[in-house]
Amino acid sequence: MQMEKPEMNSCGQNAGSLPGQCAPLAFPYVPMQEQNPPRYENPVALQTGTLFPGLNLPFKAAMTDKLKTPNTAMAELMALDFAIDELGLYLTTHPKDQEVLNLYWSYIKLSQEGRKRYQKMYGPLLQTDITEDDGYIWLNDPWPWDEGGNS
Amino acid sequence: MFVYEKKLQYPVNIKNTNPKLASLIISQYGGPHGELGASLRYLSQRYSMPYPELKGLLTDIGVSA
Repeated sequence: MQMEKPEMNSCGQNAGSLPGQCAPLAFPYVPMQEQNPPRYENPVALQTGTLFPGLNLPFKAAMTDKLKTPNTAMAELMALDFAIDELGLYLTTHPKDQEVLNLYWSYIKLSQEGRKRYQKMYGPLLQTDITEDDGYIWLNDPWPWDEGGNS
Repeated sequence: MFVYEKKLQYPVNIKNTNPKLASLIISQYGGPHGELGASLRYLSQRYSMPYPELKGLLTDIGVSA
């Protein structure tokens, strides 16, 4: 296949091309997050899209404005599980942070209890959750991503 | 290989339906240059990653992508 030859020097030697425009060249780098950083409350973290204020970069502001989570048992479990996901990612690169590790385990215990309460209200979360009296209700509509399955 | 829960990570609240936008989003997810392909590349690359933290990170990202 014949590749189209790019036009040379259209941005000058100190710039490169972005879709539709030129921008200054740069060395990108990603600094390592420090140990035990400050955290948002879990529901705020779910709305913000990150558990860590340090990672709440300006481009997220517009999103936070628009998205409001409902005040339900489901949203509570989502917020807790989101915090667990975030702490899990953090611990993968900071496995020696004992304080966060303790918090991670305490959240996991909370979410295990929360799951039991949730399942009494909304039905099984895992296909293997036993629902002896109700039969195989796993197939019941709506699924969480269907209309009406999310409240 | 995967266990899934009948539950969303984030609530969905669609105010106006838009089939054209939906088609675009679903192709970003499962299409030829989509997230699904990227997730499998992360999960493939993790086997040749020598550092434990980064091996874990590639696995985390591949699974959540």
